[in-house]
Amino acid sequence: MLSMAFPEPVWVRGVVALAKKGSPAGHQYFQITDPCPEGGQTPAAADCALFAGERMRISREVGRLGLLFTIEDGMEARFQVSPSIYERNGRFSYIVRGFDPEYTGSASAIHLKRLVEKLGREGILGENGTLPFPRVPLKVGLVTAENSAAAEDFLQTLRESGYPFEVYTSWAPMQGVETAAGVNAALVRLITVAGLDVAVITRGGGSTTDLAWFNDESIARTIAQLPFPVISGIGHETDMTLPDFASHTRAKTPTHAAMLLVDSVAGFIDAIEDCAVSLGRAASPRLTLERLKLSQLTSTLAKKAERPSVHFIGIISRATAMIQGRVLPRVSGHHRTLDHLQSRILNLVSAGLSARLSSLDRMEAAVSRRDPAKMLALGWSLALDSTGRTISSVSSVKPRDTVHLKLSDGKLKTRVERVEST
Amino acid sequence: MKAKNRSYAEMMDELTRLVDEVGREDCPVDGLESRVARAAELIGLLREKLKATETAVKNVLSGLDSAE
Repeated sequence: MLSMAFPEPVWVRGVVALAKKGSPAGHQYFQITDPCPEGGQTPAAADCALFAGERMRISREVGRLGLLFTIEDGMEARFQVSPSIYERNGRFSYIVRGFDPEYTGSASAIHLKRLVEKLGREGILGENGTLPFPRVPLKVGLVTAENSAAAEDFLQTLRESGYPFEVYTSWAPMQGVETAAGVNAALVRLITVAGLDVAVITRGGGSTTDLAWFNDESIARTIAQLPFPVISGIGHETDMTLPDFASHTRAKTPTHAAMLLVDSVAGFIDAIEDCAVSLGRAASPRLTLERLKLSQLTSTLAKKAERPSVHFIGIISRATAMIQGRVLPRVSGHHRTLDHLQSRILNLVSAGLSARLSSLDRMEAAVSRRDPAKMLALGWSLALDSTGRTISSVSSVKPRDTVHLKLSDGKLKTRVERVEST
Repeated sequence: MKAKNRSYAEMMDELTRLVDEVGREDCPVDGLESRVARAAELIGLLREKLKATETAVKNVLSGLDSAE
């Protein structure tokens, strides 16, 4: 009868409850309940069976849209079903034939809400928000999809500001099953950038299911561990994703994320300029007074310095003249004196030496005159006895004695014949 | 005593003494020859010393000139 009453599958909507994990065979069982029971009544519920074959087909179809197909409690969903009676126990159930991913966006919201509650209790979501936001965030890490409109909007806004932003891009998929892993890896890569001021995760708008890829608690946990604040700008203003809760600051769009940075830098510069103006105003009267004092002192100093300078110039001139007129001649005089003394020393030494040489000459002459050799050369001879002693008296010899006569050129051996006294 | 170790004055004293001795009429002829020979030796040494002194003085003074 049921198959006759419902020859084609029909669409039912409700909130998933009692969802069980897939069976070993790949089937999944859950209930779909009335989302809005009246008067506090127990919500109506119907068993649903999603067989492995249908489950794989639906997963593929939903996956082609870049979405992840999951059945979880609290998920608001719209299923295409075939009513059926299970013959063994006679219970009514729906055999799931199809799934409306667009409708399930609201289920993503519930999923997000639960994640926010859970991670909030763990203190994960507030972690990044405790980091101080730099006053001049010029060194920026950007996590987004390469060549995306979001990247272009963000970078263009920074460029137009004219401030010297340094952007370190860390590309990641912003949609699909690889989103969480890619974003996590991209964020971790930015840790290696020394002195990074802030990181921005951003992508443009999309369907709720597109953005639901960011509702992965691993992204929140990664953000919580980063050493720099994170700005989350995912989707449009009305879209909320888990990184929005886990980040330091939420931006409505990629452009808005860039503007937050630009405004921060501009605010700092304005503050500096205000300080400079205030400082100038506060210091101006004092500076004027000090300038006046300085001017007066300069004038006084110039007047006082004028006379002494003339006086000192006169002293210096006189000293110069004195040096030239007196000192230099004296120095020259000393030079001459020294030259004279030097000559004198030489002369004296020469004279002294000459005198000594003369004295030596005289002594030599005197000695020479007394030289026996000279006397012998004149014809004198020297009489010596046999022992070589000089014979100076005839009394020293007697006849027949041998007497040696020393002449200038030799000796004579003689014999005494006769001795005669004078 | 070696001549190098003796001063000019010491050698001059010896020479003077020898000259005095040689000049005396009573100077024995026996020692005359040796005294004359020693006197001649001393005269040669003293002349060498004077010559060396003159050379040294001239070198010192020429060193002053070149230093200026």
